[in-house]
Amino acid sequence: MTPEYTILIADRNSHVRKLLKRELESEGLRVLQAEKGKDVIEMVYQKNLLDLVLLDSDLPDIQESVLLKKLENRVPPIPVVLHTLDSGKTNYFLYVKQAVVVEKGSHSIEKLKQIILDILEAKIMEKILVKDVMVALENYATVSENATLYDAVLALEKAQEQYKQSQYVHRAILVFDNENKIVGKISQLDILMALEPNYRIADFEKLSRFGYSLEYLQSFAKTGLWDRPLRDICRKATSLTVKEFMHTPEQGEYIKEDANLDEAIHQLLIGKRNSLLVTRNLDIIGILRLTDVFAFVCDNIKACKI
Amino acid sequence: MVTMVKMKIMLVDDEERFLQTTQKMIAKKGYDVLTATSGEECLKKLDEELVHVVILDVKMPGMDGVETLKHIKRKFPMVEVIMLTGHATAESAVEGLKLGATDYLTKPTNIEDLIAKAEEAYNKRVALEEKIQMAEALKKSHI
Repeated sequence: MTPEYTILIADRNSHVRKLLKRELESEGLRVLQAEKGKDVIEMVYQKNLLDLVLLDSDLPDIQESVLLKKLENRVPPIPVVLHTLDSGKTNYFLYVKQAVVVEKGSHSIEKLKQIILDILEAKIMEKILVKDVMVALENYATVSENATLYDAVLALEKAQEQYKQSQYVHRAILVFDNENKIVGKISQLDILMALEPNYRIADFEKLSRFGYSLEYLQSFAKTGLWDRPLRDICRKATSLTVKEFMHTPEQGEYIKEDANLDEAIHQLLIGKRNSLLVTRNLDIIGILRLTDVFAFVCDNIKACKI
Repeated sequence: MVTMVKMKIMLVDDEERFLQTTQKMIAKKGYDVLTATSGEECLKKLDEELVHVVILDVKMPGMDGVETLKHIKRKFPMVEVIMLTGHATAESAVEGLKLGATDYLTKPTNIEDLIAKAEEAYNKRVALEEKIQMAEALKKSHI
């Protein structure tokens, strides 16, 4: 684990403390120890940099319920792992709802380590924010809402050229209005759809659910009921303005720069979206793309100890 | 007579996680809690809603706690502010108090202390409002 974490081991038995200390230090954690309840409380309330408490609440100088209440009242909250001889005592959860209970035993060490490392790792993940993974606006291709489809195609091509060497492959352009505010987005699909506006009218997915086969729907194109996208392409390219065919973002397409990645993934999945627009106060400052989020997830899966 | 209104607290901190958990803890005690993740957002929300006590983290990117405090005191002088400091930022507590903060808390703290200080600040505000109302009533009676 890269960042340094500090955990407090509280147990009345010095042998247990020593054993746990050695095991956890071998995982690269910093370890503090406490034998008495009053020391636990003191450390928990003095040290801001404490990340977790590993506790056998059977301590000589304090009632368990009092100690657990104290731990639960800490602001900011601190994760507690209860390492105890009697894990059946469910009243723990009355006091420390977020606590994990591990029964003490000859084989509890491995389980304990895994639980502690999982909690700490989750802490790292929570700290990954949308703004850490997004593409900043200045690295993104933009076009004015008054530009033509022709301009949009050129802008997209230029952006792809420019960033060929870099990490960003551009498949979409952002659209700004007269006041330089981002008001829309154009994807490759939007451009193709602009060439054949009738496609917008029918929702193919819905139609096929009503029992129309794909072949039947495709036959529309052949019968000439609908225009051919490629016919008249030059006239369309110069007469269509971006405003007419751009995609206007809906409510679920915005996310705050300080949201964590969990929330972002949730939002991408709910809306089945390829990207979200990242906001700071009322401004759009970047774009969070599914592909970057996916790459991040992949990197973390590859880093798993299996 | 001032009618007692339920105390409304605003928590301001750049750490979303801290905001969420602390908001829950305070709400569980029966208080109304708003949150803001930046000084700017805090000021914007104060414009829109009545808040009695702001609990303000000193260390924030962009507009920091002390800067935010200055703005609050200028625009919303009746809002009570409690500064939330770490051990490393203790001197900003002093600065904050000089600039008109009601009190300060050092992280880590406990929820009881936090509520107690917020209550204290709220009572101070209520007492001040009463005085203002009385003074205004007096002014009218002289006319």
